[in-house]
Amino acid sequence: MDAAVVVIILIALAFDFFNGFHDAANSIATVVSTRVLTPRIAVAWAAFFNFAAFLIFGTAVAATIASDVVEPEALSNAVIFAGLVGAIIWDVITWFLGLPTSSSHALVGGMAGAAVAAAGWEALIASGLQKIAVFIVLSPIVGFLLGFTLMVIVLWSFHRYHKVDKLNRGFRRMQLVSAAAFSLGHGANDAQKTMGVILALLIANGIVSEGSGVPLWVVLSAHTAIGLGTLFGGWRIVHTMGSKITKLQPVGGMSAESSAAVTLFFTAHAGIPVSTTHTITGAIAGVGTTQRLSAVRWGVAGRVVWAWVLTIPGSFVVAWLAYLPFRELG
Amino acid sequence: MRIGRRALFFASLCLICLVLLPVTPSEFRWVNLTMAGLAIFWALAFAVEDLVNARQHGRENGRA
Repeated sequence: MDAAVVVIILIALAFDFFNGFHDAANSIATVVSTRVLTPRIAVAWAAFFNFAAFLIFGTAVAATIASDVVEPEALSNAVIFAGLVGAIIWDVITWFLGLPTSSSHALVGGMAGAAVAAAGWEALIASGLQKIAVFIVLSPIVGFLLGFTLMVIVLWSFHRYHKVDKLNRGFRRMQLVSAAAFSLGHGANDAQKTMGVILALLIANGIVSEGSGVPLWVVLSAHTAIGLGTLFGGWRIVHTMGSKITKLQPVGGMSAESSAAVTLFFTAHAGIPVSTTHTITGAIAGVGTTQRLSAVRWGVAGRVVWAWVLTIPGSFVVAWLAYLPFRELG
Repeated sequence: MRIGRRALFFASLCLICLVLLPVTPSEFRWVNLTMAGLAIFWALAFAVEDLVNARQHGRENGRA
C-alpha cells in the first residue's frame, strides 16, 4: 500500500471521527435532557453502541457509496482525495453558517463533484444518486410520521394511568434502550459511509477486487473512529448542553429515538445513505407536534430544508474546484 | 367552518410522499405509499376533529 493511499485513508477516518464528534449531541441529547443518564455516562453509552453496530449490520451502505455513486473506472486517488476535501470544507463552511448540514450528503456531493471534474458527467451513476436524493427528503418525513404515531399510541395507551412517577421511571428505563438503538443506527449508517470511501479507494488501487466485501480492518477502523469521535464530541458539548437542547419528557425522548432508530435500521439494511441528523430532527418534530404545531421550533426544520437544497450542490462545487489542480498536473 | 393547520400539514406530507413516488426506485415505493397512508390518516383524523369542534362551538354559540 503506497503512502498516498495511507494518507487518504487517514483523511477518511478523520472525516468519520468528526462525524461522530459533530453528531454526538444527537445521540445523547434526549437521554441527557431527560436526566436519564449523566452526560459523562451518556457519551460512553453512545460511543459503545456506535462501535458495536458493526456486529449487527452488514455493509450495504458502504457498497452504495463505493459503487453506486460514481462509475468505478472514474475513481482514482485524486478523485477520492478531492471528494473528501470537498465534503470536509463544505462541512466547515456550513458549521460557520449554522446550517444543520449532513456529512453524508456532503460526502456524496463531494465524490460526485470530483468525479465530474475528472471524467465528465458520464462518471455519475444516475440510479444510485436518484435513490440517495429521494431519501434525503423521505428520511426526515419517515422519522416525523413514525415519531408522531408512536407518541400518540403511547399517550393513548397510558392516558388513564395515574401513577405518573412510576410511569416516568418506566419510560426512563426504556429510553436507555431507545438511545442505544439510535446510536447503533447512527454507527451503522455513518461509519459505513467512510467504509464506502475506503473501499472505493482500495478498489481503485487494485488492493481489493471490485464486488468484494469490505475488509474487516476497514470495518473496525471506521467504527473505532466514529466511536472515538462521539466520545470526544460528547465531552465538548457537556458544557453547552443546557442551552441547546429541546426540553423533552422521557416518553417523548423514547418515542423520538425509537422512531429514528427504526428509520436508520431500515436504511442501513437497504443500503441507503441518509442523514442521521435530519432523521432525528424529523422524529423530535413529530413528537413535538402531538402537543400542537407551534410546540415545534419550525425555524430548525426550515434550516434542515435549506441544508437539503444546498449540501449536495455546494459540496459538489467545492470538490470540483479541489480536483482542478490535479487536472492541471495531468 | 375551517380545517386546522395540523390537518393541512399532514395532507401536505402525504402529497410530498406521492409526488416522490415516480422517482423512487421501485423496490422502495412501499415506503412512500406507507408514509402517504399514515399521513392521510392523521390529516383526516385532525380534519374530523376540527369539524366536530367547529360544530360543537356553533351549537354553544347558538344557545347563548
